[in-house]
Amino acid sequence: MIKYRSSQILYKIFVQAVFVLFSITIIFALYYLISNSMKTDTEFAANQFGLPKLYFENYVYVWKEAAIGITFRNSIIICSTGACICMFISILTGYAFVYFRFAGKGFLSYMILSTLYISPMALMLPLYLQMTKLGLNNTYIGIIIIYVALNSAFAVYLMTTYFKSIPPEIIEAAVVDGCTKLGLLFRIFVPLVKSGILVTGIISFSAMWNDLLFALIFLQQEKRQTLMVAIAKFRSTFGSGNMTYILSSLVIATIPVIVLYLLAQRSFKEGLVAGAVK
Amino acid sequence: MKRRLKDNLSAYAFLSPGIAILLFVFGYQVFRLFLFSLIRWQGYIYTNEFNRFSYFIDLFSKGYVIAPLMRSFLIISIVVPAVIFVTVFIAHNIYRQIAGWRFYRWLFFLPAIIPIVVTSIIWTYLLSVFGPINTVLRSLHLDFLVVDWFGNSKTALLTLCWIIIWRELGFSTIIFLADLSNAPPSVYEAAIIDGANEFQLMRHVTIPYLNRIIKLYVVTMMIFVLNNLFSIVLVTTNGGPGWATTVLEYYIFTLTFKAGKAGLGTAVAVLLFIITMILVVVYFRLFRGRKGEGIF
Repeated sequence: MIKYRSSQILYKIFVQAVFVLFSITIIFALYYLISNSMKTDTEFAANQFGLPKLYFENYVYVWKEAAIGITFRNSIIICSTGACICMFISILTGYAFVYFRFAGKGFLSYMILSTLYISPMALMLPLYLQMTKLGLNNTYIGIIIIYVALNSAFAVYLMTTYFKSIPPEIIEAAVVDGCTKLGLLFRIFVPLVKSGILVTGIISFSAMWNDLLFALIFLQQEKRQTLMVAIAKFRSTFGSGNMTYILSSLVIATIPVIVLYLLAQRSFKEGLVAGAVK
Repeated sequence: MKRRLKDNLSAYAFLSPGIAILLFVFGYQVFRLFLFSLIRWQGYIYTNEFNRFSYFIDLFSKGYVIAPLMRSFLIISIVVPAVIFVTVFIAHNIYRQIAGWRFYRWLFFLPAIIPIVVTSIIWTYLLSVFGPINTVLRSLHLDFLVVDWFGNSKTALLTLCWIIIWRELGFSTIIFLADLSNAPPSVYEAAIIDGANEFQLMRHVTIPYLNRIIKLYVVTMMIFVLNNLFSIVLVTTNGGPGWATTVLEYYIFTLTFKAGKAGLGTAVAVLLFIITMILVVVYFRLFRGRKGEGIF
């Protein structure tokens, strides 16, 4: 019995040690990012571990002088338009899958879900030549079309899980009352899963916000660049000097995603879980 | 019969915008990808000549593709077991409510919501020659451990794996936990009464319970590691030093958009596409295990 107790305690110490070590990597990475983003370069060179004295000049500088402000605006325009279209399309598609019976339903569901896993890099050259031919390179429309397509499989998948949670009695009652198919969608389905639609939008927005590959290839013109591209380029032009500038632009890039996450914390996690494995 | 037809028509009307955009960006481009791999290229200009599979033959006979392919497989063989093993450990202990479990559950998810570009740049700095980690090692007089993690071709790939794992654990933990939260506590109680210790609980209760999700996650993560490392590689190492971190996916980018060898790039792209599709088929097989027809 005594032996059992002591092994139990050893086990707990072991687990705590592992958890604390991993926690330290997360906390330190965030501390390093935030504290050094508020230092001047000389302060940083002198001591990269110390606390800063709330100095926001770096943020002002990168926002105004280093294209972070402009590209931030570009990213917001692209991602919010993209997320709205994505929500709209996934509502229509999800409704078709949940409410109707139609030929080729099973096959089509597999086809749509497989687009979630298709290698984006493999399709890059065909897509690039296609967009060039249509004159959609370096346009917001072009990148929005691509982003919507990339994210709609996941969004449709989420919407179907939300739509399925609507009690059938409500739908039947509406049909008996003579509701049309469009009316059923916009008066019954959509209002009942408002928060689900919001989560779908937030997840799509974050995915678009985080993208580097497509933005890098399809928006090469400097004034149309997105924030992630600007940051990646910023780093290669500044190199190892001016690190504090780069760190402050990283903080700026993280804020919108964190804010969105905090807005819908619980349902956000549930959405990710539902989408990942069901 | 008439109602059936009408139902079909209205369903397709609702489906059409989604299907149209997916066909344009995916379906049609997959078709063109295969076509492109069979014709001769001059830089970015394609001809109408059949290439007699010359790009595929070059890839394998001259051995271009072997090293990037091996790197991708190496990363998979490191990252996938590591993530699964650590996630089971974390999820089990959070489920068993070790001291501070609420805090850990919240904290471990944070890396998953930070943009991947941001994560990659922070870790490049943390692990650089004069970065904080090496500074601490020096001050502890552990100079033999001081490594230029990303600048050294021996450690670059491992360092890349660390970033992938660090970020991935956030997602995997909440997903495994969500599945585990449906586990009946009575099974654990019974096992404890029978004298099982925590390792036995993990091995004989938690892992069997998570069996299905572990299988699904292994396949999903293999697909992810094959296809979604571009941002991390570009930002941290740019495929270097030398070719040390040029994985299959990044090799396509290098060939197509940096070296101007579109033909070869397309051949590698077809290879990656086919490997991914095989994994997707495996994934759907596992997925269907519990469900009948269709997914939605």
